[in-house]
Amino acid sequence: MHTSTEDRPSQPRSATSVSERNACLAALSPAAFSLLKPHLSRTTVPGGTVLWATELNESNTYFPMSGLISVVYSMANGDSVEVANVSREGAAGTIFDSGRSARGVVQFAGSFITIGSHQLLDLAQRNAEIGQLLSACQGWLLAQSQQFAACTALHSAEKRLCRWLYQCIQKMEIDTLYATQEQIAALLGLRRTTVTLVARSLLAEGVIEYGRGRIRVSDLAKLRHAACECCDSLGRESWPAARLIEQQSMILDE
Amino acid sequence: MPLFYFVLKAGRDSFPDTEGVELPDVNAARAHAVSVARELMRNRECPTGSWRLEACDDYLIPQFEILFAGVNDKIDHLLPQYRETFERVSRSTAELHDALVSVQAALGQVRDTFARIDALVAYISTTGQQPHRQLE
Repeated sequence: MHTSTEDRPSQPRSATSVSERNACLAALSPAAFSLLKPHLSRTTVPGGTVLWATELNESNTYFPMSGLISVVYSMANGDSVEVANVSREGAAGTIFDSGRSARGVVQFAGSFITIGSHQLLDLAQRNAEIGQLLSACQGWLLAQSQQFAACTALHSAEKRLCRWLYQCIQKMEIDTLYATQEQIAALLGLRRTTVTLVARSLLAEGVIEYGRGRIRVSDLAKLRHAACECCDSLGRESWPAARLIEQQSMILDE
Repeated sequence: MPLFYFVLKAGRDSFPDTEGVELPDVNAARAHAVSVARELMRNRECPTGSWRLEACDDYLIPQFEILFAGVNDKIDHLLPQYRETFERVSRSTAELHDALVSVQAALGQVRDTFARIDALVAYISTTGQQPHRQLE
């Protein structure tokens, strides 16, 4: 893990009640969670930290309890775009990046539950429920990547910006984000001027308020209305926890 | 490096970028404006054809203006006469919006004037005296 600022993450602490703050871990049965628990640790990571990248030998899997991890794909000329993001609803790490071509960047500082990817894979082979957890988290990242590709190709800059804001506040359950317009522009593959002009129009329509790197959503319904249909496809029903709970009820019904 | 400010004119609304962008010269500013216009109109080219992006210098003096329909690369395949027609209609729509903004501003001034006249008449009829300076 490479930190970009002097403010390095705190040392890992033991995991207590962690399953309650990550929806994926919370969806596990007590028996399956007790298998994971001895291998879990907790860490707080500042914004801007690169969790994994091609040049880093990193093999942890992260279950955020707060904050947000962006999976970012960069081109040779330095241009980049976010292909997925994960907060309390899922998990991220190189375990899900078979091509090892993307970077994992902490977009918003937060507390993450970490586990060594090899240990997680080993447990997944021994326990079907943990295997389903891995599969649901991987499926969620793939679903987001596909939706983001379609969204980038077919939707306007305004709708994409609104979708990104809506997703962030829905996942993190907050109404205020601390992000610069340069930061958002880099994630959406847009110029900073474009993001500023769209943000000005959203401000005039009473959708958001912003200033000094702070964006507050003043009208969630208006934001949802201004965003694209991808918000529905990437809604709570598609989150990994929903899939896990659905799979567990199917097993119980059998 | 000179600083350029860009103003989006969307219908009757104007949205300025108050941060500005440092660019080497006016040609670089034009290239930046074209890229931003294309990003803003992408996947909604028809309804934004009459939008414009104005570039101002450090003193906020307008340097040039780009009509979105004029840099819409999705209509490159059209015959020149169709493309020109689309641009002409978009420009006329933009000019109509400018005219409506001017009319709105003029109406606002007329309303203010009538409000001041009403206040003066009310004062004179109540007191029978010349109004104080601040009412004029």
